[in-house]
Amino acid sequence: MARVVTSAPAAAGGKLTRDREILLHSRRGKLAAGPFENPRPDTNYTWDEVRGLKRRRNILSWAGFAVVLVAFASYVPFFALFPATRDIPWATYSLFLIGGALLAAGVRRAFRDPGRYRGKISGSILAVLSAVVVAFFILGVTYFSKQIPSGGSALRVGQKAPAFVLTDSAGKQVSSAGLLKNHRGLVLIFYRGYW
Amino acid sequence: MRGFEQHLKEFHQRGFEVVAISVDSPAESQKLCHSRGYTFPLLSDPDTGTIRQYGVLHPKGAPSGNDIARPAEFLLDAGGTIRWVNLTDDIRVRARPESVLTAIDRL
Repeated sequence: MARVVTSAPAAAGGKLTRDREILLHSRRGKLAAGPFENPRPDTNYTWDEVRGLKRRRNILSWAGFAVVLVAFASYVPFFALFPATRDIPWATYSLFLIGGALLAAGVRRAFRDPGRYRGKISGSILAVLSAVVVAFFILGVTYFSKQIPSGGSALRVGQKAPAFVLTDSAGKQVSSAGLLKNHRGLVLIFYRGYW
Repeated sequence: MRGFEQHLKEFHQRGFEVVAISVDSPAESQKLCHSRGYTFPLLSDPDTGTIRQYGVLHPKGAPSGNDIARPAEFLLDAGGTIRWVNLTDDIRVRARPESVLTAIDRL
């Protein structure tokens, strides 16, 4: 039957005792009973080290996931404003890489050093979610944003531009003839609008 | 359009006006002018008459299923002839004002 440790032994340091092994395997500071195995038989833990071995929150995995989310969410309101980071979203891809590296490091240490770090399950879930987010972004910029008709039917260079009379945002009628009379030329920007 | 607003002075210096056209209502355009600070005219073509004439209709392009304009830029000279066209294949990638200014300088 496992004994419960309530206080540190008077003499710190030295080889792991059965009591310290119990503490080593405790989760979230709560002591558990059961058959135990020292995960690091090669090491002599001091009492302080054993206390330090309470399994830590795996901050790397969460930080990596946060970076991936920020990268995804920042594209439209920020990076898409600048042609340099919009046309080829290298800034977003770089952030994805940084987030992915953090997440990989977090998951790696959760599996390699489970006695010390939590997050085998949560890290794996965060990694899958991140992969979905990245895949959705890539799909968006390589597929969804290209779902427009080809420009084959558009008027070409050298053709006469059709005249128009349209309403401006103040409700005033604006004609192409009037605009052309007062200018050397016009730049017409057709845009999808915001409905 | 944000880039064109930033370079608007350079277009005006060359005697060119920038005009944007969409199916948005004048009220919607006004909101956009206020939120983004656009000072060039935003023209409303709700029945897509002009959009169709320029051949840049995107049938059922809006999530609501309405017809809208596909992104495109045309450069017209004083005689009303088209001198330069940009038809992107990606709604994210629009003409850069610098390249339109270059096209103007080459006229």
